[in-house]
Amino acid sequence: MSESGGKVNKKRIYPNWFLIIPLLLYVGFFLLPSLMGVFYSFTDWTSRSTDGVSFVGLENYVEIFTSNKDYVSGIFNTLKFTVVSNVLKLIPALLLAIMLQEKMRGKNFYRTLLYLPSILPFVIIGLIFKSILNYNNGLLNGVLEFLQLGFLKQKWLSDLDVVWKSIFGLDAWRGIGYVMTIFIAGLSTIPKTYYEAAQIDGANFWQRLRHITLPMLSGAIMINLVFGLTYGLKVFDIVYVLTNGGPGHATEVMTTYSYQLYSSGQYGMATALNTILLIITLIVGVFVVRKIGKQEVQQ
Amino acid sequence: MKKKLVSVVLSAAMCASMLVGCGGTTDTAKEDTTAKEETTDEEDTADAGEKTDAAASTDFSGEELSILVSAGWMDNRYDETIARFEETYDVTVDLQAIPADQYDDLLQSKLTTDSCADIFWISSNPFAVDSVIVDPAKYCIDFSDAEWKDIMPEARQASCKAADGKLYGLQIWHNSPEYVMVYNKTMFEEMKLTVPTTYDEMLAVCEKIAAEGVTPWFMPGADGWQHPLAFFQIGGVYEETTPGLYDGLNNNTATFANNEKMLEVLNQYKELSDKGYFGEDWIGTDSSNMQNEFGDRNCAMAMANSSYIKQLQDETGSTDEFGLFLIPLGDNDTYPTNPAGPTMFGYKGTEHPELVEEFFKFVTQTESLQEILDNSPSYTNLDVNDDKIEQHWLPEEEAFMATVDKTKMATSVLQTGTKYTNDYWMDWSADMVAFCQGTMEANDVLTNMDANRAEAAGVAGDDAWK
Amino acid sequence: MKKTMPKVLKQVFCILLCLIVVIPFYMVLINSFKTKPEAARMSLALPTEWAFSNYTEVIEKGKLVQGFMNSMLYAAVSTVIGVMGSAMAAFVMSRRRSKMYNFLYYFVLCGLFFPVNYVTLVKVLGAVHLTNSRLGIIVVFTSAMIPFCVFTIRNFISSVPVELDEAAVIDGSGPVTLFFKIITPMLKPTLVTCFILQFMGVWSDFLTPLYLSSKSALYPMTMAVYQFFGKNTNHWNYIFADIVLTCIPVIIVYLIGQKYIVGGLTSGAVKE
Repeated sequence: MSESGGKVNKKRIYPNWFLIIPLLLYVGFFLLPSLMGVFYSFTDWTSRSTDGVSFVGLENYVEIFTSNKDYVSGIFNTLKFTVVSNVLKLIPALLLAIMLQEKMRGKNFYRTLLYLPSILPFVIIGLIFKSILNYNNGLLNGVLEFLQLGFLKQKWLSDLDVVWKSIFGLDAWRGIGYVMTIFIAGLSTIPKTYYEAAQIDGANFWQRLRHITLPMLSGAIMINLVFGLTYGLKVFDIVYVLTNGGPGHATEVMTTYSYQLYSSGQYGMATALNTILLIITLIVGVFVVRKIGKQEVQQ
Repeated sequence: MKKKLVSVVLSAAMCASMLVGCGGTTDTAKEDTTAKEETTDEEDTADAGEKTDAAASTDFSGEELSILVSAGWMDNRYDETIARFEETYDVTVDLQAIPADQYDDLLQSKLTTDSCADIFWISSNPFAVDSVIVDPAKYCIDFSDAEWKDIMPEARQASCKAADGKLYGLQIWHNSPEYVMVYNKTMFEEMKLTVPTTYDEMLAVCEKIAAEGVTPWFMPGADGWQHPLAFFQIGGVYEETTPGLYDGLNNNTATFANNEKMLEVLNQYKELSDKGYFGEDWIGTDSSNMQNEFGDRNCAMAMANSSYIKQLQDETGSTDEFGLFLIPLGDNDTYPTNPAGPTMFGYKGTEHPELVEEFFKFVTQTESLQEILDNSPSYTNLDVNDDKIEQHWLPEEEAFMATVDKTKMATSVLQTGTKYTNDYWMDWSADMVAFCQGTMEANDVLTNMDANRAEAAGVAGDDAWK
Repeated sequence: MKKTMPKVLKQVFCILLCLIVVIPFYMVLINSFKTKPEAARMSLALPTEWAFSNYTEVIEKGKLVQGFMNSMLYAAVSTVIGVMGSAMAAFVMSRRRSKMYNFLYYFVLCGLFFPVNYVTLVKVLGAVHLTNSRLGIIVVFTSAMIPFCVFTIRNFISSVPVELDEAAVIDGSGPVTLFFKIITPMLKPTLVTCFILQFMGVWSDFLTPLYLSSKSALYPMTMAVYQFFGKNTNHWNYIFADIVLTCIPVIIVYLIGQKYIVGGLTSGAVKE
């Protein structure tokens, strides 16, 4: 219990052994296998190579960018999905979180309900929504017709102009509750006194949002942004279960291409495509963390 | 009754050993032994012959046999046989049913990490043993001299053999017509339609049915794997038009691209799609409600297996009569011969090879085969060389088979008659939809298949593509 | 008047929103009581006859009791260890802001972006003899959630004032007491949120146990859903009943967690 000159001994009260177990687990059972996976992208690993693989350098990467398959459109679609899906989830989720943070009857009930979609397995989501979005006897078109809005009826999963909207809509349906939960955790750390002071100053909703909520929420925003971006760039399940890249190749993303490569036994190529995705994600992710992290320090 | 007991014991053991890792299994095995004793007596009298055989060789008591299989390949049809096997040999069978879309990846991973189950399954065809298992000599138990091998007809044995000529697998599958046209006979009679045998007749039939407000041909495009069948199941007609085509495709001397007959079929398919004969939105419709669509008389035809008729009538309570005919695209009149199906293999790295061999012997006994057939609602027959088996052919199947010209059964379907084709089923499926939506040319669909096959041949190191 | 109008509007809005969310769930629930062909229609209508037997059937055939035990074990143990371990690490990383700790933080953060490779994972586990065991599966789940948890918790931990640490140290507490008695209660909303999100993640992940074990006795509850997908026809009624049963535990965890998020909030506010 020695105390030297009122200054806290950082080494003692923030001991390094707090770090050991998480770091060991992370390095041993997560990072190491993943890096070993990346290593395979430089090899000719295929489903046929049972007697070991050999190093081929950047051959797989060259192949990806020169292949006659349209991987470029896959990359473009991935980026498009990342941007749109995040806009569609973050903003409504933030507003919802603020609303459900205020005094309101039944807010716990609403919070729970809105979170529910993210617990459903993807296969089931795909299954249910293929049925709901069916053109002839699906629920959505049925409701539209019932409301005399028949002109809004769409071939939700097969019309090339509509299919992406269906995916975005479904993704928002599933994801908003999750994003909202993180926002609520962030909001709950903002002291109420700030708002009370603002109330006295006569600040309106938007002023409070700009000057108190958003700055104080930067941690939660960053978390959601980073998770949202990585989720968007790595998106697979929702596309896979709803359209599997179709109709035709209209909704193909990077991961669906890599999945196809994987299932046709071209493991080296598949890991190379994954590695490209990893690099993109890493750059975007670290950029966002540093950018917002700096702002946070300035606060 | 006993199953319940075992599962209760199992879960109890589970709770007790939750944190100890895999301690649970030994407890269960012990409990099992006691449960078993009461049943041995009747077993002894039932099949004394096999019993002495087994007892003479080795005592397997307490061992565990694991089986890795894709969900849907075994359904419940092996349950009774497996239960009997467990009792006879005093062992436990650990059945691992894996989600279908994960199965191939999982099996590959289990094989490469040397942690495969004692028995594993693949969906086999004459080329699959080498292309799916890759190195069968390394992973599979050689059954070339197994006494049960002749239970399989020769065509099925081809799906169980590798390029090295050895027999590794056991395929017990049915010989019902698969993915031919199932149609509502009653509706056809009411609309005074006859079964179409050419594409033009098909077109005329569709037009009349559509005029009645019924979907002529239900096509679940959202499933992805169904609509390519319309093209591949009629492989015989391509071979007939261009004799030697299959050999050419397998030797890399022929291509899909620029094949007139294939282009013709693709264009016919698009015409049916454009005219709405597959339904207003076939690309966005999946098959989950297909039986009900038939039952509700919302559709008149679809590609399905013959056994589908029985299920359909049982489950929707439809009193309509149904029949079968050949897919008439490209004026096809050939039968979709397909000696392919889920096939089981013994894993060479197993800890108890004798038990695995006993299992293969056990399921090929007449009693087991009959049991498997009787417990499969979707089987009407088993394609095995065993006269003692009582088959349950449907009258619809018999009527259909009577109409098929026996000389038109020689060529197997395109996806299993040619190498690497089947591996690109889903790519093809997407291309076909793109073609129907007008974003792709018919010949590009074919060209893509050639390119994909060349890629797979490269992966496999196929000499013909070098 | 001025105040009640928006309130009513808000309620109406929320109810509409919930309706959109709930309808698919209602579909699952109601169809889980129907017969097989009726369930395949996936309609919103009430069942013509209530097939409660779907549930008993699923529990028995899908080995749900065993699956539930496994899932609960994986989710509860790995999430508790993962969240608490990450919180301790995040605490140290956030309080000691030297170059090295910053680097460690980014190093862990990278984990958010790496794809999982099951083949190599099995090889690593095999090397330390952890394949085919519940412990191995738990270790993998725990390791995989560390980047997420460290990142989330470190972002919230800075809102806990350093003065609290100093006061505690002056009162004579060591690092363990400081962390568990002072910091953890302050972080309750964050920790509970992490717990909820990760619990759900582990609960619905059936791939990891699938690749890491070659015994069906180790399979989680969510695997059973797939057993009712057949080759020609699927048992929608069973699939739906199974979904209902697998969702219930997560809903309960959320409901319980929710209470603590709110509880943590008020206690935090009182201290302010």
